[in-house]
Amino acid sequence: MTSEQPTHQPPIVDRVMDSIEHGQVTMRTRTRAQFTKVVAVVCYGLLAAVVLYAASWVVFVVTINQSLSLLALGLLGVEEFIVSAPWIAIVIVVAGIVLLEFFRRTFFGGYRRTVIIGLVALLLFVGIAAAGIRRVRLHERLEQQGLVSRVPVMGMMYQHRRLYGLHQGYRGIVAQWNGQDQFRLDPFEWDDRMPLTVVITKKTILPDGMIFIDGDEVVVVGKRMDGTIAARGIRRINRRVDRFDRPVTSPMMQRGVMMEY
Amino acid sequence: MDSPSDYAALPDEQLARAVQRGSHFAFRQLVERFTPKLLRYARTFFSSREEQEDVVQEVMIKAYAHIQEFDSRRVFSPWIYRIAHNEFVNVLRKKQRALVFAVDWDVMLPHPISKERTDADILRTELNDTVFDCLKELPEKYREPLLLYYNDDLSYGQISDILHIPVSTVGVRLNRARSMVQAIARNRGITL
Repeated sequence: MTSEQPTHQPPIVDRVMDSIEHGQVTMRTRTRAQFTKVVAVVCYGLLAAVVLYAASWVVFVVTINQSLSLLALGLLGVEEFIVSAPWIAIVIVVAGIVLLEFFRRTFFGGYRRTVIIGLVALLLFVGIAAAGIRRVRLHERLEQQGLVSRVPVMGMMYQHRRLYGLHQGYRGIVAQWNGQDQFRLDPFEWDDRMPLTVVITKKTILPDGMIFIDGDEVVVVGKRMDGTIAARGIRRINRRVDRFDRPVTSPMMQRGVMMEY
Repeated sequence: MDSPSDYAALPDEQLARAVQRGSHFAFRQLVERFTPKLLRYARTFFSSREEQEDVVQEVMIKAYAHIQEFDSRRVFSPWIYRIAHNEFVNVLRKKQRALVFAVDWDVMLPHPISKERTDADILRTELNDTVFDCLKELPEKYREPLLLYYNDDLSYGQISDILHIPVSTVGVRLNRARSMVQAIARNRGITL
């Protein structure tokens, strides 16, 4: 066989030891090896923090703009959900999870399990952690800080609430329900306090029924023409919500800067 | 300890520890131990003896340069085989100017874990040239685990550490490789 033919070079061991003893090869220091590991751990930690932040932002947005609950409107709700979803954050989460899995496999011995199992485990972890972050109301606190520009870089995200509003949805409180097909909506939106007139037609999708009571919190999906919305779907979020009964959570709110979600 | 004979009886991990402390004799011992094994492993990638020797020499040099990264609480052989695998793949990539191993579905998707075979399999014996010729017809991803398992006596876990693939994938590839070798041998009229 070709591979068994002898070569005319000195044995490998002599060649290797020669190059070591003549200083052509040097051993890398232990510090360098440890530094590489520390850099990998720090990068992994930073990336994980970015992914968790982005994931919790996604959960924050879909719960706060109520697009998740709009899914009960069927196709209309799905359409509104898709259009209103924070896609940039979703892309960051997905790309981040793939990168985290790559890091785990490359630097932390995560290759012993299949890629799918690794990705699903990461996705579960990120989902649970994002829900946990939502529960501690981190983004609400950052939002309050962001409104007075105390949050560097990310403050912009919180100052522009339009970024995470609905596409054709209007959240607000039902007022002056006429008992038949019309009510006034006092919108929650911070920059548009004008009351809207909501008109219900035969085609309006009403998963929670046709009966409204003044004070109900609703989301109305439909096209707005001046001060009137021809409702394509209405989802009741909260019955008779008193908007002032939320706990005071920050000094800003204590000073009277009220926010509504 | 300061002569080559002092190191002859030491296990690989202790030798590696001695190299980390600066012993050239210990490294010589490691090179002498692993050169024949790595040359056999190189045969799965390269056909010319000269190329095999060059690349194994490069592996040894890299092992020396990176020896401080070796965790001496772990087994040494998968560590050096991992360096060899990377080096072989890099050399092939340069030669072929293409990705040698793309992402495989058998690395992506979960498989039932197949148990390691402890029976005296015919392939467990030193692979002779006839069987080796059959192996050459196997795709790289099947040939490599087969050689590491049967020729170098490495476990599924160790092969997983060398190839950076899931343990279950090692089992799947070995099973497929066995069937392929048997089919190739049958076609050639060889009895295994």
